[in-house]
Formats: sequence, C-alpha cells, structure tokens
Amino acid sequence: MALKPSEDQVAQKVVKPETKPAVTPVEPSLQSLVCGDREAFAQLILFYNEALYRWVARLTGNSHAAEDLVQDTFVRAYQAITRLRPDTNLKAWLFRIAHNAYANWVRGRSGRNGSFPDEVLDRRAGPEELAQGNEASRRLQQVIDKLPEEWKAALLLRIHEEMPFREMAIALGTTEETARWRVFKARQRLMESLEEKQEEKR
Amino acid sequence: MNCNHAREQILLAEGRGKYTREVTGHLQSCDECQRYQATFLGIENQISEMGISKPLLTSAARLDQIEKRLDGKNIFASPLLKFRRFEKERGRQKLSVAVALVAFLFAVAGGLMFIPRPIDRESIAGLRVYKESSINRAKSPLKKWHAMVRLAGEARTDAISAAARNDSDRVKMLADYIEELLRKDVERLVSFVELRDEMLDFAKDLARSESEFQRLASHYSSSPEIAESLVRIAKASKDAESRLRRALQA
Repeated sequence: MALKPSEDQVAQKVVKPETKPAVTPVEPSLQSLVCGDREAFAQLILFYNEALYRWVARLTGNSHAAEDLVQDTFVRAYQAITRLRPDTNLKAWLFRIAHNAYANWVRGRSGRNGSFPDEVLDRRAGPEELAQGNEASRRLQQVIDKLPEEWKAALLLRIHEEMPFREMAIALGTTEETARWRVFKARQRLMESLEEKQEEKR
Repeated sequence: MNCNHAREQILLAEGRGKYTREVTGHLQSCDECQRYQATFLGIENQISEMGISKPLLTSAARLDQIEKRLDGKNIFASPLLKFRRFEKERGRQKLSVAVALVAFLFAVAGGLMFIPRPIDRESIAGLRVYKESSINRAKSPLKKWHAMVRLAGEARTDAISAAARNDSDRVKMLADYIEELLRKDVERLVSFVELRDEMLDFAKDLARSESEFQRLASHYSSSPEIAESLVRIAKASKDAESRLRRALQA
C-alpha cells in the first residue's frame, strides 16, 4: 500500500527552511595567507567568490565560463600565495589574477555571442518589471558589450565594486590615470550611444 | 566653466558627487548639465541594479572543487563551512607543539642533570659529599687510596690557608673533616694488603704532617681556637700514622 503523506507532513515539508550555515565572510589577513593558513584561504574564497563571479560573468556574458574563470583565479591565487607582500592590496591582487584569466579566455575563445545571454541575468523580478527592466537592460547590455574589453572591465569594476582608480590600476595592470581614462571613455561611449538611441526613437 | 568641460569632469569623477567646486557651481546654474548629470547617474544606477545570477557554485562547493583541482589534496574545509578539517589539523598542530615542548623541557632537564655541578665545599656536609663521591667514584682500592690521600693533602693545605687568614671557623671545620677522613676512611682501606707500599708512604707523610701542624699550632698561640684545631689535625695525623703502622706490622 502506498503511503500518502498527511497534510501536516506536507506542510512541514514545505515550511521547513533550508538549513544553511550562518557564516559571515571576513577578509583574511595577509599574514595568515602567506603563512599557508588554509582556513584563511577558505575565508578568502568566501569573501571574494561572489564579487569575482559578478565581474567575470558580466565580462564574459557566460555563467559557465565565469565559473571556470573564478575557479581558475582561486587556484592561481593559491599557487601564488607565498609571493604576497605586506603591502599587497588583496582585492586588487585577486581581481588582477581574474583579469589575466579573463584575458586568456578572450584570446582563446572563438565565435563568442555578442550579447549577454539570459543565463547570467537575475530573474527575481516580477513578469512586468522583468519585461520593462529586460528591455532597458538589453539596450544597456548591447552598449556595454560593444565597449572595448579594457574599457568594459574598468567600467564594471567602478560601478559594481566601487573600486577606486588606484586599486583598479593594480587590478588591470595599468596606471591610475589610464584606469581613470578608460572609465571616462566607457562612460562617454555609454552616454553617446544612449543619446543616439533616444534620438532614433524620436 | 563651459558645459563641455563640466560634463567631462562629471564623467571623470571617481565617485558620485565628487566634483570640484567649479563643477558644482556650474551645475547649480545650468539646467542642461543637470539633466546630463541625472542621465549619467541614472545609467550607472541601472547598470549596478542589473541583477546578475548568483554563482552556480556556492562558496562551499567551490572550496570542494578547488580542493579536488589542487592535485586532489584535501586542502580546504568541509562543505558545511565549519572548517572541521582545519580544526582537526589545528588541534593536531597544537598537540605536536605541546609534545615538542614537553620533549624539549625533558631534554633540558635531563641535560642539566648530567652537567656536573660543583660541590659546595664550604660546609662540612659539602666536604663529606665531595669526599664520598671522590672515593666511591674510584673503581679499584688503589685508586680509592689515592683519592683519600689527595683529599687529606687538599684539606691540610686548605687548613693552613684558613689559619693564615685567621678563619678559625674554617680551620675548625677542616679539623673535623680531617679527623673523620683519617679515622674512618683510613680504617676502611687498611685491610687491602696490596696497598702496603702506599700505606707506608702515607704513614711517613702523616708523620711529617703531624710535626708540621704541631709547629704551626705553636705559632697561633694568640688564637687559641685556631691553635686548638691545628693541634687536633696534628693528633689525627699521628693517630692515623699509628694505625697504619700497626696494620703494616700485622
């Protein structure tokens, strides 16, 4: 005889929250990382996992590629951890590794899709918001996607990570002035493109 | 400041509203540039609000993946993020450190035990310990005899020095020590027939010593305590000589 769950059982099953460990990520100290403290490295992953993914996913427009690149970033970081210096900016250093990994990916890819695939977009909005938001987002994505890679990388670091130009220079392996100029050019191109589109609409 | 320059400054700014006084002044007076600034900020807002899906891998899963990728070594924490493995490792490390520390302390303590410490020869007890260790450490009766003779010679020299310093306490203590040495220890060793020649030499030595200490005592008539101790040493030497001669005759 098949056992049918009672209503209570069903309710319990639905209501039961998903147990997630309550861990607040904390940026580990450089010293503990250099000393080979594995827990510190695990903390580093917890602390930067989402930020790195967010940036790389935006750059690649491909969640699977982003996953691989973030994975690769942490593996490379682990292998280079002993080369950290006391004055190393940990965040900039990690983003630099990620940027190098992304540059390699760009060189190695072929026939990349011209726009962000939907898979990287957050679908938590309602249907109407999603429709309106998607239209605006799609336009913006198209413009962003047409930006030169270096401008785009700089712009997204500025907008999503609110990264100062000095830190950005380290992350992108350039000077502070160049980082500032790339962000400026990207912003300028965005403004021009959107103004053109608005005029086309009229 | 003209509009083009103001707009350029808006796009060059590091943060929102981080404009120079000139740009802020221009914005207050120019509606077109205000609209431009609003459009720009709106676009940046829109980009920042363009949600992006969460990583496919949770941080925990990523830890696992990286762990596997780095030569399959168990490097990182458990997926539950409780860092049990680290805790275990840390526990082991702590235990190793404790064991190493205890071993080190034992080694130091052991080492200290093996380092020969100088015996305090300022007291009669220290002199006794020194005497016993010197004689007992000698393996053969001959070596024991030589040790005893050496100790008697050292004590006599020490007594003469102490008398010269007018250290009556020290002379008295040495007199006690020499009496004990020449009575008890000579008695212990006279039974060894093979020491005959050494006994004879020592008997002669004691005879010289007896007369030397008697003569010395007469010089310390002004210090009766020292003179008395020196006489006791002379008498102990005489008694020991007699004992040795009796043993030799027997």
